[in-house]
Amino acid sequence: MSIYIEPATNLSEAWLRTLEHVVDAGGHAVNVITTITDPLTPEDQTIRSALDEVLSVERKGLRVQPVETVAGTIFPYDIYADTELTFTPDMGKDALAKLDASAADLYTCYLDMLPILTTDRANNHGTYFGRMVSWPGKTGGGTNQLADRITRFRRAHKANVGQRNLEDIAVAGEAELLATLPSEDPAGLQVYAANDRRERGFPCLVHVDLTLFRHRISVAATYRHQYLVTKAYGNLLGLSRLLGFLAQQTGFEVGELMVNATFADAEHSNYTKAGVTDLIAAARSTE
Amino acid sequence: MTSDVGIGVKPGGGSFFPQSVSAVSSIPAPHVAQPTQPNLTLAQRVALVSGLSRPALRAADATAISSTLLSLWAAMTNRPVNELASGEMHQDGTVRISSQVAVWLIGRISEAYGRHKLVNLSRVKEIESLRSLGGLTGLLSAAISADAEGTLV
Repeated sequence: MSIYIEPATNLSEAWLRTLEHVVDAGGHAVNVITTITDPLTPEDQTIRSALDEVLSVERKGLRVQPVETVAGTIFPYDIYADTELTFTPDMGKDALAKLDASAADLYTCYLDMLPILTTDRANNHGTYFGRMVSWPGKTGGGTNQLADRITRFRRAHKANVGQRNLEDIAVAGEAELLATLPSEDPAGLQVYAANDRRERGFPCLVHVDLTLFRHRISVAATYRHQYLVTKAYGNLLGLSRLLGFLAQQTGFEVGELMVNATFADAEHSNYTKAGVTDLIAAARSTE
Repeated sequence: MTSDVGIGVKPGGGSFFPQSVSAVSSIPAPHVAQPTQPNLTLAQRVALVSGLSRPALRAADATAISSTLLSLWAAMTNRPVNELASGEMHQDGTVRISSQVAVWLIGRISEAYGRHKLVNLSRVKEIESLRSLGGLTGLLSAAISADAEGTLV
């Protein structure tokens, strides 16, 4: 049965509530809905530190990465030279040029990284951000979905469109990428190929949906297997930053972030049931 | 069911990327409100970095490679070298970098050196070498030396 986690303001609390629910459900659950109402609210330091501590321990047979590394697979924050400018339809030419250049540099930097990134076996099939900025994502020269969505959202902003729902129902497949006519609505970000038949491993994130409503961009992401300890927090952080980037580049406000994990895993087999319980206790600690 | 997105939420805008609160890392956030070279593109900033040729990299010692890496990092972020150099230190005593930055630097050095992939990430035994300037310098120095000796795989 699906589980609707009580929405939280910040990603730390949303993650922790999700983990607690799935642990209470026995360690696994299907169709778990996690909602962050204000994704750019600062993280909770106690919760983050508790998780960082767990992820700093090497574990045999399990690839554990820092939260920032996981987050970077969705939005490579460390290579984004943020100008702190925000798009407005009437912004000056110079400011717009700087804002555009910061995005262009981000894409260029990431495409520079792709040949090296794909030498890691975990990235043999590409990376999430690679798929977003150069679909299908293993090399440069592909479709830059992110730039395309920003262009469309800016067009909507200039036309003062922000009070109607522009949600899409994009599912696995490439056909929607061909939708480039000016009259078409902003679509989701394709991160999953319809012909992808892998049963495990990348990609766990299969779709990112963007919805413009009341001048806010909201994100809905679908994971087919959400590893709640190893990956989920970093995933939420990366998606939050992606949303922040889209809002900055389009001038719309930040809406909510919703993640649907079709299968949520508390990873008792990786960290032991006691280990996950201890993690929750540390994250809930008030000291 | 009615969506309440946008209701009761404070206006956004301004700084979209608040500092991470991680206790593990406080790598400087890449904000460049006052960029070092505001009118140059990334490619132009990178082109100004010295030491980016195969002969120069082969002749460079660890100090020179480290300096080149720092300059490249500054070009990428459009921030001053000394600001990055005075950032958080790794436990190896050199400046801490993120693995994303390390990967980009490897890519740039590989391109300058003329070898598509100087470093294969799957063969990096010590992951911490991707998290410090000193570690990355050692990794690239070893790769360039191995290439010169014909033993790089």
